[in-house]
Amino acid sequence: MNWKRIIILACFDLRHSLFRLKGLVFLIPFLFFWYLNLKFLYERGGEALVSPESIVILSWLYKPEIAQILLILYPPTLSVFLIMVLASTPAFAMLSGNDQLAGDSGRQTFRFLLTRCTRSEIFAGRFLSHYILISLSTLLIAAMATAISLHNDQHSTTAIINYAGHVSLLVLIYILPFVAYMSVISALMSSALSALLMAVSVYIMLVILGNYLEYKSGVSIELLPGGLKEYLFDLNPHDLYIGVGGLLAFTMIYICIGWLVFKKRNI
Amino acid sequence: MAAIIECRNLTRTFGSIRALDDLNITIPARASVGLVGPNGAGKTTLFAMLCGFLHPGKGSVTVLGHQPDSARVKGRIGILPQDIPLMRGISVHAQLVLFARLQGFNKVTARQEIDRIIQLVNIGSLIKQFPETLSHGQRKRTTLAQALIGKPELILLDEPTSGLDPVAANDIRNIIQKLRHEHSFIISSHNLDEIKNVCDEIIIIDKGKLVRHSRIDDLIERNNTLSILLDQAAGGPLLQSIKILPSVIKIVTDDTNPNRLSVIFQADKPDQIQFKILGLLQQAGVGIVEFNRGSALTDRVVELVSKQ
Repeated sequence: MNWKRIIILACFDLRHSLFRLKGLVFLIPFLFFWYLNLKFLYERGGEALVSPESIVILSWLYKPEIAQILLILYPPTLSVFLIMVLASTPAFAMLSGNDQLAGDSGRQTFRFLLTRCTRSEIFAGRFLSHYILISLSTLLIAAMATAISLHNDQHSTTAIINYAGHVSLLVLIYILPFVAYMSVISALMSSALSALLMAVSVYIMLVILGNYLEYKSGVSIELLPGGLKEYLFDLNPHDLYIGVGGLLAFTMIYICIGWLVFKKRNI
Repeated sequence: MAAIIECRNLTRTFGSIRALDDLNITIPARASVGLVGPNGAGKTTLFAMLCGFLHPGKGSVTVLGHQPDSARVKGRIGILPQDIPLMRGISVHAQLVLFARLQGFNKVTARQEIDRIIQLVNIGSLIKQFPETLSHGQRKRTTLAQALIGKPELILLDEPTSGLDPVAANDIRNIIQKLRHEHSFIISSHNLDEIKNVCDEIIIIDKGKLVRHSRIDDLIERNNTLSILLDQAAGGPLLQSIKILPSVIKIVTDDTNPNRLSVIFQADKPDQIQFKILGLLQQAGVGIVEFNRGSALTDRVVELVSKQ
């Protein structure tokens, strides 16, 4: 693989995604979603987030001790931001990544690239550009959330900055398998819309299948990276390692499947 | 001379359809080859395999000595795909610069190379536009431009003039003519005059099988056949007077068009027999519409394909 070509491809795709439908279909809902939520956090965050009601609500979603750690031990604004990012990443990754490979494969415009670079370079370039697009957008929101946290939360500046770094790193890792998941779906399909619909269908199917297998076997079975969310809330380092390791394992598996599909498909 | 393309027992099926069937082709370097055959003969499939867009079902294919997917051939092949426009929503210039950068040019030299290509293909007025806003002919020119970036060793042109008006088609033919000695060309086209004018060799395929691969001169028997189209049917006495000329072996008349005849001869100096026939036609008061050395390429292709 020629990394120079991969970077040229990724930069070109990233630059043009910002002004084309494939990027805007992600950016517009993403920015709208975060505008509303950051506005809420700014106006009604702070003390409201550490109220008993908030802890009770969060306890319904996660374990009570996780809720307490997130809202009391850590800066609550950033904790709520983290919870929201983890919950919304699958949807935004689907919006951002549906046209990783599908559209250009269907329209056959990859033919102009394939005489100049290898399939692996195209695959890596597109993966990188979509990962950078969603990561940079999320980091931008993380910076805003940090600013709100500094304004609203009662924690020290150092504690907030440290936690913001920790949250950002987790978010960057959490996004990886979802972009990789979309590379599998996008490599299979021939249009962005069909890739989006397929991604949603397969995701729902895997959620149902995971729950069914868990119910039947009585053992926790994670078929999707979303199931590893709870491991990322830092109860103990061991859980965090399991979460991060699992996310990286999902990423590798999806990338391998996506690459095999793209390698074999007709362009 | 080393082969630029070597296909061995190349087979590709799509469901029950055999697009390519046990195809064996060797093309030497610096050749200009015309690829012809009826619709669905497998021409576009062959091009797609030579560029690595499709994988062979069976058999092997090497281009410039390597597998088409190999990194070693990247940037050394240029292709004008049939009716595939450049990417939507991105200016032609931005795309051409991308292609040049991928071929190893830096930012400065990429722009210089694009300027050279713009001059060559005469697309100066189109480069700031988006491909979807261009006409069919303009799109063809821009996709031809991308195929020429970086002076690739091998250029594959799939129907380069189809759907173009005569002026635009002629411009593209002139560009090919200008470059034919600098690159190896493979041109797929239904326009056999075009193939005859710009190619040295011809590959005829039908139903995925190789029908004929030879030099065009050999195929049309340029040195022993005259194709003549008259303004009226040649009468018996005229045909007889041509037939008794020394070196004339046979006269073939066309039942569907009695104005057309082919004269087959065996002579060291074909020009002399040509002048004698012209003299006889003049004496008989018969006008000449066309007078070509060699049999019509179309007739030979039709004859070979219909034998399949």
